[in-house]
Order: sequence, then structure tokens, then C-alpha cells
Amino acid sequence: MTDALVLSAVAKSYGATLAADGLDLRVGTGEVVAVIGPSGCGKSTLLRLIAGLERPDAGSITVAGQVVADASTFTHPERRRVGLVFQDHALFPHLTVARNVGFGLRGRARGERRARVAELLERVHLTQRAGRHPHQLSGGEQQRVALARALAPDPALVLFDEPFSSLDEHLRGRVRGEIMGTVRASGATAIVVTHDQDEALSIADRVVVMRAGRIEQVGSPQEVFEAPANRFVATFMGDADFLPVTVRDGVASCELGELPTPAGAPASQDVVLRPHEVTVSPGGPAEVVGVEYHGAFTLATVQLASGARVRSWLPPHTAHRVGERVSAGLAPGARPVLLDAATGD
Amino acid sequence: MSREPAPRGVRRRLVGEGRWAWSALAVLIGVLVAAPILAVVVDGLVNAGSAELPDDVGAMTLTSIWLLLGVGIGTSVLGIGLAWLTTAFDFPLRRLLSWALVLPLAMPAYILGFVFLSTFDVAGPVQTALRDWFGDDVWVPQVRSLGGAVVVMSLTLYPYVYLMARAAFTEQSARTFDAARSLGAGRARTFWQVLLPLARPSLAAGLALVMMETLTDFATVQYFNVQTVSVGVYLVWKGSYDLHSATQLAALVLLFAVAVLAGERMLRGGARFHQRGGSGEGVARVPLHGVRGWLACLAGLVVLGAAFVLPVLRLATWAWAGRDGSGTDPLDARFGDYIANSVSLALVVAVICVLLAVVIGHAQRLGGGALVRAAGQATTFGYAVPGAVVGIGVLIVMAWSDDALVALGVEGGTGLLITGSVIGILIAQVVRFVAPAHQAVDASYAKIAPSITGSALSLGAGPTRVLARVHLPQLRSGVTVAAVLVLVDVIKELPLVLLLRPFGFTTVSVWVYQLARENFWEKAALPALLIVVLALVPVFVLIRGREVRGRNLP
Amino acid sequence: MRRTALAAGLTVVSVVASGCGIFSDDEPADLQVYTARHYDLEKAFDEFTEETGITVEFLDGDDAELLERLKKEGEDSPADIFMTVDAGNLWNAADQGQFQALTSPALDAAVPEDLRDPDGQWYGLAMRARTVVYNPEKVDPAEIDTTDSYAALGDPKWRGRVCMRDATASYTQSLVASLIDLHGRERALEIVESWVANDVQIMSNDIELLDAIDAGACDIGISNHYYVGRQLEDDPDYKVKVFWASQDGDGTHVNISGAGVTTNSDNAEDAQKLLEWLATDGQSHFVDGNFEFPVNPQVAPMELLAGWGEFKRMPVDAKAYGSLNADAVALLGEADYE
Repeated sequence: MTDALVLSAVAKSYGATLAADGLDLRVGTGEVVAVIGPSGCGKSTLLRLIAGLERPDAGSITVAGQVVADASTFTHPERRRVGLVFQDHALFPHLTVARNVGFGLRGRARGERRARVAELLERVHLTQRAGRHPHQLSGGEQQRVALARALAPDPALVLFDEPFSSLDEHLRGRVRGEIMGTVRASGATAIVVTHDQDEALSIADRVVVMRAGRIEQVGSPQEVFEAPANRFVATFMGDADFLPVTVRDGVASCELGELPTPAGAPASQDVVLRPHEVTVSPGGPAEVVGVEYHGAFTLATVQLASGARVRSWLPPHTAHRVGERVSAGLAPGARPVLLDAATGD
Repeated sequence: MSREPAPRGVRRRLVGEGRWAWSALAVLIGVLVAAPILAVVVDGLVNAGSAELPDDVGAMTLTSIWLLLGVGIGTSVLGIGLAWLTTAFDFPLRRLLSWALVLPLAMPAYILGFVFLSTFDVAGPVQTALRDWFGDDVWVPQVRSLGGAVVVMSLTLYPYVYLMARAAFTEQSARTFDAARSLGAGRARTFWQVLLPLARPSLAAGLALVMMETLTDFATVQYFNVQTVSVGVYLVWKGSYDLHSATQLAALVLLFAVAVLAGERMLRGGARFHQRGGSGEGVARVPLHGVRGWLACLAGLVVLGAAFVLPVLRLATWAWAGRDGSGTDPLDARFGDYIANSVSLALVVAVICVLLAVVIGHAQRLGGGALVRAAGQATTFGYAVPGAVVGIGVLIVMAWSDDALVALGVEGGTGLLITGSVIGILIAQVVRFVAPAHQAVDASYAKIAPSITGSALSLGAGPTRVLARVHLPQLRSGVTVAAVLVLVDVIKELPLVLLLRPFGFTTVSVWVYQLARENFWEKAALPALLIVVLALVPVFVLIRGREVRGRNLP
Repeated sequence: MRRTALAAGLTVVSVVASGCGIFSDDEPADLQVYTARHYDLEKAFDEFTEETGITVEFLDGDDAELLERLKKEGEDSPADIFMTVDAGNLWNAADQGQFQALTSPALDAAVPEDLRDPDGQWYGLAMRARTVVYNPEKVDPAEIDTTDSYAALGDPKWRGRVCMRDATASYTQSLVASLIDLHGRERALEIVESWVANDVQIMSNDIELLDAIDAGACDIGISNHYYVGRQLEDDPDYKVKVFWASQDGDGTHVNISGAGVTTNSDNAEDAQKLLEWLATDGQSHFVDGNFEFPVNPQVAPMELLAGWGEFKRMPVDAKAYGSLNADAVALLGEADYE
């Protein structure tokens, strides 16, 4: 089976700014991929390049086995079989819900078109709303119409540009669940651009982390969270502290103690410590310098004897006050990742 | 509104990489429209050499700046103030006033100027009465002055700002307003800090039109003895009987035009606001009770009266008094032809201008890049150059193409294509008036989010279908405004028609000119009224369109 | 949408068709006249057609703009005759090669020498005086200087009492051009500056100026004589009188409306006939409707004008008016005359 999308060495710059700097990526059919990165990292440009709203300076883009952009070809968006769902939904305000969904079905027989629209409205549970205009719908409903519209022509790929960020916080989780459920049920291949780590980790089969026009890491949510390729990915995907690692007699250890890593680890490495991997117990050389109550957990910041700081999720009902002397250790079963200290940042 | 910081502000509103056919079309339009004006400048620079700028060019420049400032402030105060009054408050006669305040759009400044002077100047009834009561030494402000010109031009031009401001205020959703108010901002502060900034792109477009009308006005400022740079162009031209010597000044006028356009860009800022949903329901109106209500009503009535009702009445009185004047029988069959000429000319020019404006807007939206943007800008120059200069430009371009054709061996060249038929007038009017159409359509395009275009394209619709099925339905209000502005402008336009018309082609404005030139004002009153009436028709269409849509809203 | 587009398309087609129709339907007249003067032309031309069978049509516009159009149309121009309302403009049109020289004993006999081009390129056809006008209730004509009445309006005794036309008016420009011609630039500048120092009120047209004098807002001013005639015809009690300026000096400033046959005329013979007719048999038809003076000394002016008495006129120096016009504009600007 061919890949739904293949990017190879795709580059795009605006003046001196490199928005895409040699991007390579393969997305398999039926896969849901999240693209995440800070503002201006090039993730929106990536989307626009795939959709055909921008032309790459170099490299090639292949959608469902068809080259849509390279040095000699450029296929316009209307011929790419790529659907788009925007943050602002971008529904056509002058058309009803049904006609919005049917917009991409031109050229099909009327009966077929009607059936397809009905099928999609059914799938997003909006059959009752078919005759309404977009401004008569709630934000979540509009988003579902946008999805139905994008899926209607059966695209090879659906691109989502920050699809949930315009929704109210309390709605977001539910709409996200509904939308991604529909996407999965329809077997569509999807690329979702987001700046929300939880979102990326929770909806995607694979996560692409971008920075400054480059892909820093591609992997399953577990991989990018638990085995970040570098310090940037580690910090961007969640809270992380770093401690230098010393290796003696083939055993690696850090200020919190011995690390459960395979023997033969190279020198000059840092260990990545997530707060859930650090425990705190009363009495010791370290000092609590910050406490934040989060309801289910309490996040404590601890300053170690060396002056380095680590953060720790304390279980409920454990109370430590700021200024208290404590000792910090590695949580049982934790297998923190080691990173080459030279990976920067 | 885009939430994500957009470092490439301009790029983000573009969709795609341009389509060569659309881009080429837009560039072609830009070149054709700019050609006559460039031709005047080139012709002037090549041929002038010796001609010097007049000594008082500094004073003229200053006068132009003062006039522009004065009219800018005057139209802003009247336009924005009245738009705010009629959208945010309720008071006696509000419904009537909210559309009637557009009517002065139909009143050419040169007609209002004359009526104003004939009423308030030394020999007019007002000053005569004052002298009768208080003796000959009574002090009255100098009517024939910069101030007088500012008043008259503000009264005739404020509807441009009023229309744009009203549209912007009503298109903004009540939610924006409520959100601001719930944050503790008072009504006034919300107006200044939220609504006005949001309306900025529209206001900038309206003000730019006002500025350009002011810049190119020749007749009104002359009545009021205000020597602007445009008057200078005519003075030098007619003083020396040689156009070449006037082209340097024409270039100065162009410089002003560039400044106005730059000002518009600045006012708009990099920001393009895309309102979600599009059809806002406007702000909930607050009733004004008692004296305050009547004061609001009075404010509207005073402006309407001064700018429209009283002048029309005075014209009507003259027309009545002059009804048995010798020579011109208003029922003469020819006058039917004049009206038909004016109307059909206006319709054709409006259709062409709107088509061109939509093509350029669409090409820009498709991401044609700097060249297409420049083409869009180029189309606005015609509006900033006095009509007669555009006319001469068209003549020059045709003379060049005639020579070129002859050189290529075409017998007779273009012949009398331009002044032998209405084609010349058509071309020149399009050159001159594609700008207001472009402004209105562009402002409408700015309200369509780029994501709408992107979605439509990705759903398999080609650029033409996107235009027809997605953009045009949403551009309807912009297209209507564009058509109305052009219609009204064409009906009022005089110098172009005068210069380029073929034998036997007379419009209503030429008719007024022929009578007014020799001060047969009582005879000119009837055709002048006719211009107002003709120009009112599109204005009414505009108003009705808005009313109907207003009612359909939930 | 589609229907609107269709309707629009049909309109375009039909109007363009009808625009061209203007020419395909109507046979063009034998003579085409570009004219900056338009009153009662129709009557005069109709009379001419009746007498000769030669048909005439005309297109009116502004002097300078019509000249520019003539030049740009070049060989293709339909115009046979170019008629303007200013001697300076006639001279300029000739100077720019737009007229052909005529040989016409009839015209030479009818038009005095200073009112026509020595080479026969153009001929004056109607004459107007730009002279001093006053309100008889406010001004005793004996107070008005008779040597140089124009310059004398700068006398401090007229301070705040004078109305004049604006600097953009060709009337003002050619009057000032004649002052430069007569007195030299320096003296002319002094004269204009003395007007400005007298707080002269600037009016944007002659009728308003006369109305202001009639209403008592000014006492004295400078106007074309025919506007006074026109106003008096409407209102015999109009309180404005004409004073023939500078009768003890260089005479009253006059200007002419005139015409010539264009270089590219394709019917120069008939065009010459029309000019000859206008200068002789057609004189009264041409000038009377507008209260102007005939140029032909054998033709009597209309009764009202005859009643104002004969006057000595300043010789018309078309070359001076034409070539000095730009100087006059500059001078007016320099003197802050608006």
C-alpha cells in the first residue's frame, strides 16, 4: 500500500527566514499524525505546502503516490485530494450546512451527492441541522460541519490547522474526542497541527516535533515523551529537568543515585527527569524551594546539594513546606532517558 | 481574527501561489489603467524642459494640505459621528435619518458650492438681509475661503465615510461589543478603543476616497478661490495653452495621491481583520430620551438639511423661476437623449469597473505576489488625477498607438477611435473610476477569511468556481457599493466627457456645464436637479439593499 | 448572479452599439466646428445652413482642452473650424500650427486689421469690452480716473470697495497680459499689488460680481460689458452702470471671439464660406444674442449697446495676450492675487 504522504527534502523560505529546512516525512494510509512545535516553527507552513497553498523552493511532495510538487511540477490545491479543516472552521456563510458539505462533490450524480451528504451528516450527528446556516450553529457544531465537508470528497489526506484552539476550554475535550473518533472511524489519514502537547500526545499515532523549520523528532507519543531525541523535545513535550551523569565502573549515576541503564553508557551525558520519576522524602541535603497545589497532585521544586533543581509530583496528602530539608530520589521502576549532553539547549 | 502571531502578515491573507492567468489579467488591467497617467507624465517630461514650476507652488502645496486635512477631519467627524449615532442609539426619526443621510452622495460638490455661495456670499440673500438689518458695515466671515470650501466639500463627501463606518459598525458582532462592555469599558470607551479600531480598514478606504475626490476637485475650489495644486495644473495649462508645462504640476498631484494611498495603508495597518461569521447583528441600540433624543435628531436633520434638502429646494425654486426662460425647453426631446446618454454611460462604466475590481481582488487573493499588488495600487491613480488630465492621457496613448500602427503599416492607424466614438469616454471613465470600485471590493475581500478560499480550493473548486460560488456571494455588498459609487461618480463627472465626447454626444453634466458656464443658473438648475435625481437612483438601490438584508438577519 | 451578468453584458453591447450608431445613423454634417463659445451658435449656424445649404455641427468645450484635443487627433481630427473666445488662444493655436492661412478679400474687408491675423490664419468675429462697472448710487462716475481706469482702482480711495474676478479666469489673465504689454512687467506688478493692497474682493464669476455691486456689497469692479447687458435686460432697474475705461489714455481693454480653419480640415472651402458669412451677413445673428459688439464696422451693434455710447478701444495685440499669458499667471501669483 502506498503512503498517503511522502515529503522529501522539502524547503521553503520567506526572505531570510527558513520556514521549512529540508523536511522528510512519511505518513502511512490511515495514520493520524500530530505536528507540534512552538509558534513560528514552520508547522503551518508545512500544512500550506502539503495543501498546495505554497510552492516549495526545493524537494518533493507526494500525495497518495502522485507527485504534487517538485522542481518541475506543481499541482494546485483543487487537484490534490487534500482536505483542510481550519481553526476558524471557514464554513461558507451563505450556504446551508448540507450545501457546505456537498460543495466538494461537484461532478457526481445528484442522487449520489445527496446520499454522501446525508451519510456524512449522520456520521457527525448533524442530520437535524442540514438546512441551517453556519451562523446558527455552535462552535463545536461548526467544527463538525467543517470535518464532514473536508471528508466528503474522500480525500487522500485531511489536514487540520489548530482545529480545536478556537473552542472554549470545557468544550475542547469533548469536540476533540468526537472529531477524532469520526476521523478514525472513517479511516482517513490525518495530519493535525497543534501547539498543545496533551492534544498531540492523546490523539496521534505519531507525533512530529518541529523547531525553526526542522523536524526534531518523529515518533509514537510514548517515544517522543519518554525517549526524547534531545533536550528541546524533552522540555517541549512536558516538564523535564536535567542532571549530569557520571559513569564509574560501567555504572551510571546522577545526584539522585544510581541509574537503571544498560552498562557501557558513554560519558558526558545528561539524564532527563520527569516530575513523576522523582520522589521526595523528609530529611536530607536538599531543600524544598517551591510548592504548587494541583488538586490531584502537588508539584514540589527541590534544590539539590549541588544547586541543581528537580521537580517532583508528590502523592496526595504528602505535605512538604517550603524551606523543609528533604532528600530526593529516583522513583521505583523509573527508567529515565540519557541524552548526549552535547545535544544542546 | 487571526490569533496566532503572524510575522508574514501580508502573506497570510494570500491563498496559493498565484495563477498565471489571473495574475496576468490583473497586471494587464493595472498597466492599461495606469498608462494614460504615466503617458501624461512622460509626455510632459520629454517635451517640457524649459517650463518652470510656478512661484507659488509652495503656497499651493500648503493650501492643498490644509484643504485635505480640513475635509478629512470634517468628513470623519460627520461620517463617523452620524454613523455611530444612528447605529448605537435610538431617537426620533432615526430610521429615516439613517438612510437619508446617504443622500448628499448624489449632490455634486460643484453644484452645492454654487448654491452655497449664491446664498451666503456678499450678494446672496443672507448677507443682504444682514446688511439691511445692521447696516453695510456688519461683519461677516469670509465665505469665499478655504473654510467655506472645507464646509461644502465635507458636506458633500461625508457619505463615503458614513457608509463605510455604518457598514463596519453593523457588521461587527454584538458579541465584540458586549465582550468589551463586560470588561468594564463604558459605551464611549468601547467605541474609541474597540469598534473604531476594528472599523479602521473600512474607514481608511472611505477616507481615501474622500481625499482623492478633494485632491482632484477643480470646480468647487475655484468657486471658493482656493488655489490647490490641481487648480495650479489648470492655471498653468490654460495660462500657457500648453499641456506640457502643466505636467510637472500633474506629477505633484500624483505625489499627493501616493501620499494619500500610503496614508490609507498606514491607517489600515498591517492588520487585516477577518471577522468570524461575517454577518454581525450590530450593537443593541440605546434609546435616548427627552432633550438628548431630540438633540440627536436635530444633529442629523441639520446635516441633511444643509447638505441636501435646502440646496435641492433652492435649485427647485430656480428651476421654477427659470421655467419660461427663453431658449432651453426642458421638454425638448434632446434632453431625453442626454439622460439616456448619462445613464447608459454610467451603467456600462460601472459594470466594467466592478468586473475589473473583482478580477484584481481575486488575483490578489490567489497570491499573485508583489506584481499583482502593485497592479492593484496602480488602478487607484486614475482617481487621484483630475479628470481632464486623465482625458489628455487617453488621447496621448491613442496618438502613440496610432503612430505605432501606422509605423507597422496599418493603413490609417486607429483612426478616430477615441474621439470619434464613446469608446474614449468609456476608457477614460474606467481609468478614473476603477479606484472606488477596487476600494469597495477590496474592503469586502478583506472580510473573507483566507481560510475560506483555502477550504474552497482544497474541496476541488478551481479559481473560477471559487470566485463564482464562494467569493461573489460574499462580495455582494462590496460589489453593490462599488457599482453605486461608480454610477454616481460617472453621472457627476464632467471634464472627461467634455474633452473626449464625439459630435452629438451630450450628457446631463455637459448640459449643466453649458448653461452654468455662462452663469445661466436659473436655466442650469433644472439639469442640475436632474443630475441629483439620477444619482439618487443608485443610492436608493444601495439603501434598499441594505434594508432588505438587515431584515433577513436573525 | 448569472442573470445580472447577462443583463450587464447586454447593456454593454447595446450601449457600445448605440454609441457607434451615432455615426452610422446620422450622416456627418458638411462642417465640424470645435468651439469654446456656444451661446446662440445653433441659431447662427441654422441660419447659415438655410442660406447656403451647408450643414454645420459643433462641439463645445474649454479653450485649452479643445486645442489639446485638436493637436492629439492630428490628421484624424474631424474639425474644420476651431473657434475660441480669446485672442491669445487664437494666436497660440496659430503658433502651434493648428490653422491654415486663408486668402479672403471678404474677411479682410469685414474684420479690422488688429482683430485678425496678418497671415489670415484666424479672424475675430465678436468683440467684448472688459471695462469698469459701478453702482451709480455709490459712485459718481466723475470720481473714476479716465487715463488709466484699471490701474487707478489701486488708488487707496477705493480701498475695500472693489470687486474683481479670480486669477484663474482667462478674462483676468488677458487683462493683466495687456497691462504687461502696455506698461512693462514691473509697473504691471505694481498695479496688481495695489489692487491686492486695496483688499479687492475676488469673485468666481462675472454675474456674481455684478450682483454684488447691485446689492451694494462692492461699489466698483471690472466686468465684461455683455453681462451688464444681459442683467439689464432681465431687470431694467439693475444698479450697475458701464464706464468706458481709459478713454483719455490707451482705451478700453477688448478681446475677441474668433475662429480659423484647421490645418487638417477636409472641407476648407466651405469652412471659409462660414467664416466669411459670420463676419458679414451673419454678424448680427452671431453677436446680438450675447450683447456683444460686431467686429465688422459696417454692422451696427444692438440698440442697448449703442445707447452706452461709442468708445475708444485698446488695440488687440493677440500675440501679446497669447505669449504673455503665462507671465500674467505668474505675475498674479507673485502679487498674491487669488
